[in-house]
Amino acid sequence: MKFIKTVVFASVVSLLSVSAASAGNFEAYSMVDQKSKRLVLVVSFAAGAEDTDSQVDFAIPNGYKLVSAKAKAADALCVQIPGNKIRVVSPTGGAKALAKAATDYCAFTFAAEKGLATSAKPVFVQSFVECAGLTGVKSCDVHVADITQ
Amino acid sequence: MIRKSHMSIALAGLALFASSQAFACSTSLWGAGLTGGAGGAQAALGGVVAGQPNGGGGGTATRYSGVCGLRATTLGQMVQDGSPAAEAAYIARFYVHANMTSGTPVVFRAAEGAPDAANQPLISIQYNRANQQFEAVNRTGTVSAIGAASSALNNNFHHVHLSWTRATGALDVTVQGAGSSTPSATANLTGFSSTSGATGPDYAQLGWVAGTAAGQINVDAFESRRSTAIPRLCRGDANNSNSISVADRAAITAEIGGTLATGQPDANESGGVSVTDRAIVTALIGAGATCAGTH
Repeated sequence: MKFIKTVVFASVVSLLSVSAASAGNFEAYSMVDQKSKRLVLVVSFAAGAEDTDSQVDFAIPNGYKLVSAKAKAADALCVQIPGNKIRVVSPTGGAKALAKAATDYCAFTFAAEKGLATSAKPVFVQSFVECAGLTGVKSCDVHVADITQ
Repeated sequence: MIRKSHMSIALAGLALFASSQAFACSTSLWGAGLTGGAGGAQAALGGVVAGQPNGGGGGTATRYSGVCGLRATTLGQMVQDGSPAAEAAYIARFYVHANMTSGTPVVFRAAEGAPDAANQPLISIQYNRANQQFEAVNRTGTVSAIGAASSALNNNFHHVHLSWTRATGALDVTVQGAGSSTPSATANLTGFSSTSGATGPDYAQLGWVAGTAAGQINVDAFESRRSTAIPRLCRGDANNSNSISVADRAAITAEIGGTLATGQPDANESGGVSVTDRAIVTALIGAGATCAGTH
């Protein structure tokens, strides 16, 4: 599992280097460990210039069940919410904008239910995203990808 | 402060508004159906103050929703509206923040007749500071407790919802506030009969309507109808988007910094906005709370 996370984190960093910096940007990368059949999703966020708060929700792919949600940054929320979804909320920046540099907020681990063909790449569908600053809602992007080898 | 619009069933919408934080808060929507009409001589009495928590908008008042509220600091400071007319059924709600040191002030009254003539106070809602609970008073002066003592703690906002029916003389009241996700008091009362089978509320008063007391009363978000219960406003929806999200958290941060939020930022309904409210909204976000829920 540690190897998987390392791969995922490295991939996030490399891909974020080409992301636009003007708007807040969530990056979500998933990967299936074919040996354990566990699915890992790591969500990072790079803030736009005025973003003090950010949030994104994803539907949990069919056939998977959340087994752990780990916050990678202090005061970040990484939780399951009603409707078989997961929610990622950055710590509030208060009056200060969040870091423009990509920051890992959450790592989720899912178990495949019996009988699920894990050879198929799971799809995390974004159901809600919002970036906000002191003057209101700001533009916000989400990129989701599965990087299972 | 907001004004609801339910054209077919509305009796009196909220009568305080401010189009932006730069403009004055106003009571000009009150007074309809009374002498002088909306915004006329009978709309606001006794120097009741329409204002904002930060002193903007023409005065200082604690608000629940929007940027304006209404504050009464002495007996007789109130707003009135005559939109009702011998109603057979009357449903009303308001938010009240009673910060009293003593007494039992009447904060709401629906009455028959006219304010400047002989009238019959049909329904009075008063706040009993000693017991920290609301009470209902009928036309003959009988006082009925709404819930138990300490069911409405002083110095907190409470949503008071009442529903009256002429045919039975029944009055149902629900109180919820102080950050609670469930009602703190309910009462199904009887004995609230009108003077005849053809009479009912002709006008409503809100503020410090009657009663000897000491302290201040802030009211907000009044609405009345002939049918259909009036839902509570979405607690914690600071940016008035009808959802709970990080934008509400940012709006609370902005208010802490001096820019008033336009929704309901006072998540713990304490009468002020602070980092505590932001933490509560964070918890609501984490719980997946929605404005369709009951939080």
